[in-house]
Amino acid sequence: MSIKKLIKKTTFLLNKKLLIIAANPVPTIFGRVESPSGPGTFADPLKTLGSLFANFIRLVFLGGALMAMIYLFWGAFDWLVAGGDKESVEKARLKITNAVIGMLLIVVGFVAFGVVTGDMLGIIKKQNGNWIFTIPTVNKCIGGGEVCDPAAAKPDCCEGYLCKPVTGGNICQR
Amino acid sequence: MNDFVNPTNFPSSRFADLGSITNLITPLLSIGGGIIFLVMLFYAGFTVLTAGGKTENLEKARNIATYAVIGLLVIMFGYLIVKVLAIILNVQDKITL
Repeated sequence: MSIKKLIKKTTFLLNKKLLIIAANPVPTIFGRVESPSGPGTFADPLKTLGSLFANFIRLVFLGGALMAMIYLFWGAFDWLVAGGDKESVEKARLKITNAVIGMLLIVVGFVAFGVVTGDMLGIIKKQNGNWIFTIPTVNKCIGGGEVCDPAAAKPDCCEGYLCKPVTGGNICQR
Repeated sequence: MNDFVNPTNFPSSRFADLGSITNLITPLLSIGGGIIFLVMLFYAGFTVLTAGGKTENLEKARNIATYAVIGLLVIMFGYLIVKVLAIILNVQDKITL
């Protein structure tokens, strides 16, 4: 078989595959992936991401506080055993000062992050103790049971749903 | 190809144009940038915290924090710069890539 024929055949097969893909919704082609049955946090992946982020921040603050405590004690101990030696005292003083400055820097960085991403850019927001990432989606459509506008040129109901009137408005229904 | 590929079903054909993929990727990038900014500031804080009396560690921490802030400023003003350029170059209405 010549290469030209091979290409032609492959293209034909690919087109056939595309036809099959185009005719069916995504889950019937690729199947459905189930998450492990954990503590139920995987039900809403965005919420899980937010709680993961919150736990990371908590962990960093815990680690920072522990390290600050250790360095404060270390500096105090160094000062204690310095015994008039100017250089040792200076070293101990710097240890304590930098421990305090570092802890402050962690807190200030966290606040700056919150102000810039939450209030100025609006990409990572904090609501009721949860971090919410505003993640963009492809082809956003209105799901079943949600309000739609039939007067719009294209009522953006999801595949298989139609904009039908009910008492008190219009919703997307099958 | 457009005749038989249904844009509501076929995943890759949802990227109808360069604009839609840009709209998808730029917010994700800025979210990632924000998180990296936070992580870098935490790292700088830890470096200062554990510096003791070493000046080179303080220098390193200052560099980390400075470049993290510069990066976030670029992310913040990226849209603004592009839109100002669009006004200067008189690109009408919306910027379509």
